[in-house]
Amino acid sequence: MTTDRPSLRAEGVTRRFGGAKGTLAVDAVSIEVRPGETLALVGESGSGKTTLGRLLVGLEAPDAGAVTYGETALARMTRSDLVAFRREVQIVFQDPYASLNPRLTVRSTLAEVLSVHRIAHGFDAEDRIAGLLERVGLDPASADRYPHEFSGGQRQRIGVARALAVEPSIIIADEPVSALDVSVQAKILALLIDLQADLGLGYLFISHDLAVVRRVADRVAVMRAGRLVETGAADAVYDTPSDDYTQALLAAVPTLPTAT
Amino acid sequence: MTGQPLLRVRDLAVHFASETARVARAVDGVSFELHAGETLALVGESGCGKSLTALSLVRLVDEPPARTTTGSSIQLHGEELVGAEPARLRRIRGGEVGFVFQEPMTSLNPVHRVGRQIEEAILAHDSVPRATATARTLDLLSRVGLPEPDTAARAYPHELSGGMRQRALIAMAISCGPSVLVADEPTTALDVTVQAQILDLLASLRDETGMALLLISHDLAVVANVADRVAVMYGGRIVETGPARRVLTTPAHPYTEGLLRAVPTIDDPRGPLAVIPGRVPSPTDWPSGCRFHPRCPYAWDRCAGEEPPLDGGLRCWLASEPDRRGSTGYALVTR
Amino acid sequence: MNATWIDRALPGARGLSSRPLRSGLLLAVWVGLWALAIFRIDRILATPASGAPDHWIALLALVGSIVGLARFAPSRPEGDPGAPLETSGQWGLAWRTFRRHRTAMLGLWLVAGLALVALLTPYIAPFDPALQGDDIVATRFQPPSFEHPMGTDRFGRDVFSRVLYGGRVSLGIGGLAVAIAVTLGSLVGAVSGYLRGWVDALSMRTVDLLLSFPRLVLLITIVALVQPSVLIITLVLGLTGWMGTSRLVRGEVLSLREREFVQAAKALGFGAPRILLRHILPNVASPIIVAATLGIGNTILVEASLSFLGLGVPPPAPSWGLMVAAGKDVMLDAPWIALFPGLAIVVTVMSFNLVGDGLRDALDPRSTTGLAP
Repeated sequence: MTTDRPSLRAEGVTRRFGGAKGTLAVDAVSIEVRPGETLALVGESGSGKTTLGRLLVGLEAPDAGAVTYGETALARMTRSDLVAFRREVQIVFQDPYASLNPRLTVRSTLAEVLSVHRIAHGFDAEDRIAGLLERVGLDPASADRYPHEFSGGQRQRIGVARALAVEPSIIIADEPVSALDVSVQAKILALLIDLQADLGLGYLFISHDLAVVRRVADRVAVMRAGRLVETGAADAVYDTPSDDYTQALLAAVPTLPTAT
Repeated sequence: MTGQPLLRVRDLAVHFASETARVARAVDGVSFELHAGETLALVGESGCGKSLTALSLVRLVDEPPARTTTGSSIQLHGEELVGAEPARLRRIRGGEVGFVFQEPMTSLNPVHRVGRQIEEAILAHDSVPRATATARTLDLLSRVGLPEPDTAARAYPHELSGGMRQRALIAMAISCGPSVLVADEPTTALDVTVQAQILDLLASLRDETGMALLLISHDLAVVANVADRVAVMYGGRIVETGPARRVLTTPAHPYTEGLLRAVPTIDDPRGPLAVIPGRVPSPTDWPSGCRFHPRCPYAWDRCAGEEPPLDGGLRCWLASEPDRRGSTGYALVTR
Repeated sequence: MNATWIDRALPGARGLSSRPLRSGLLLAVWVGLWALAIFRIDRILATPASGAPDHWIALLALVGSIVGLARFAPSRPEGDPGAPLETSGQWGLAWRTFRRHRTAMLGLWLVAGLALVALLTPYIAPFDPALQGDDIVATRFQPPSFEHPMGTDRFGRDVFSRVLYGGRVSLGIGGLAVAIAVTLGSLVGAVSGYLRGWVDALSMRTVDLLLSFPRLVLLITIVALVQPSVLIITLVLGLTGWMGTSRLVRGEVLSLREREFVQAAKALGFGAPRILLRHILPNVASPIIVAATLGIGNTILVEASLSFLGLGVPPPAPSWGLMVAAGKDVMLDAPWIALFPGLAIVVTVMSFNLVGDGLRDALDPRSTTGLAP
């Protein structure tokens, strides 16, 4: 699915934690997330992949370099530009238990998004909430329940619905299936793939799991210690990895025995 | 598999009385044997009862609320552990049976040095002078592959990386020369590259000492490389068991099949995965008949009415009616 | 069976004790309320004429509790312990835990009872608390009798009536001062935890400074400078009691602001006030409620100490601390003068502490999230 919607780019972004002599979490990284396509960001813990994701949604500000959406750098956006940006770029988190406000029902969670962004009110909002829940594979009748009444997979669906509520073109998915059981993981991946096909979403799919990434990625970027070590089309990176670290990562992935 | 098993578990059932007075049958009639030098992997998704099975081997589950039913039997070297004295169980925990848990950070006490914690574990079981314990600690730390045992022993847990912490925990678990090592998701919290090293370490320690390894994991691929035998759990019961390679390549139970097809592998190109419909039922109301039948693509009326026995390593009516495994199978990508 | 309407009246009384006792208790309260309405009909009828707000509140409380006991509480189906958990949210889950806590339920009953008695005092009290006997010499220092259930004091005033009126003062001061303290503390804590930086540094250093003064000395100093009255005492207690809450709230907010649902709210472009008020503060409500409940007991104690020292509520007004102080000199000859207000302090403070401990257990996130697998 091609769209003429703009892409989200990081241009030489750097983020350092703990003052001028602190650790470089992200070191001069440039990547581009395009609508309709999945860029997988792969790396081990401490590689800076989560920080890069947060920089791209604007939850962190870079110390150097710029994050741009369309023509404008995030840092130079006006208030209304930022509001518009929030409606285009959304985030889904890893931990389905921590990513929902435990005191709000699913309905309140979604209704709040719709009302803050003046997308829908009243009956219109009700219809939209039902539509969103159906869209992510949840029963609209469960809208008045609280997060603790759902399973991990269902909560992750609620998290996806919340991100979808603003009709974004790009979603940063930070380890969206790592906390889930294998069979649940497969369903959430299927949902993400479906949504992409239907809505032309662009994903930055952050993951440590190379086997999962293989399922969803068009392009792969490998990160280590804050730097990008390899970027390329998924098939190329998996079949002919050029970087030593990528090769080591691929070699370490445990595999199932195959029937002979 | 010859000779006397090290550990023989028969009809182990652990139930919880919930606040609504309904009983959660979290582990419900589990039997297996573990021989010296062998690795058995208990696999399954959250809520299948695998961790609880491991913990209840040495009664590490609080009773109440849990209750190990009277029909259960756990024999270690022929000694019955169900109903054993608490003092005896304390000797066995960390002595005869060592444990490695998932979270290497929370399993170590953050205010004590790593070496000191291992020494304490040794001193709790063996009455040796502290100097001996210190020496043994350093030896253990080098055996688990920590490059500088002295430095590691003096470090506080937060000063070590996740992989190093897990090595230190393994050192603690084998400090008293256990005959059974229980590893509950030992690599889940670790990076892929470290995962492989930890698994190798466990396998080589097993070969070196001849201890038996009980590996608990949700990750079939992790299990595949270390386990001799696999027992797949669902709904508090073992549904399929057999040699690892056989189970993981030609699964006989529909649940095993579904699980394997849901595992993404690095060799398959981009595309859909098979999906097991529905979700794991609650331990307070397992479905009647075969506990998997509401989610099984092959189920027929017999499966709902009558629970199949675990026969020849398979708990499924397909064992007697293999023709029923039709062409339907698992659907790809559904929501 | 009268159990049905009693269950409607006070759901959750189950935790207190077995069914017959609970039913009996509630029946007794209900009958007592009617008895009050009948025997004090003269005062009730005089209410409109007197126009005193006290009496209006008491009238409302009387009618409200009679009607409320009889019908308004939602009905609860009996039995079926296997019924699935209804959609109840975290408060519902907390209530289920609380209800099983026997001592906490006892505390809740006592607190409810004390509050009801305090509200109805103008109807219950047999005498005007300031009314002195006609002949002071003859009526003073009377031991407990049918006419004066707790005896009389050195001015021949009825101790029972004074204990009742003193309860109003103590509970009122305790509740209001804690409300002030908790509001102020939560606000300061939430803002400094959320904004961090210099705002946080400034307010937390202020807290450190205030906390390093002994509270009683601080209070005595303030009260020495300002002429004490009930209002002043309330304000002073409230304004010197917020620091603990602010630290507590700040700590919670600091950890909550890093939680993913707060991050998600930021990514959705929600403003800081909305995030703070709707996403963070409701999640700090549990510790605040616990702190407030325990705070009421503590504040009542402090007020009693101040009054005992003669620095609290000014004399003609009935205050438990003041009454204990007045009774201490005649402890051997007329022990009832100090004994009954002293007991009242103990029972009240203990009740609030029992409820607070129960709430602490019930609202502990570990015990509430544990129910969802």
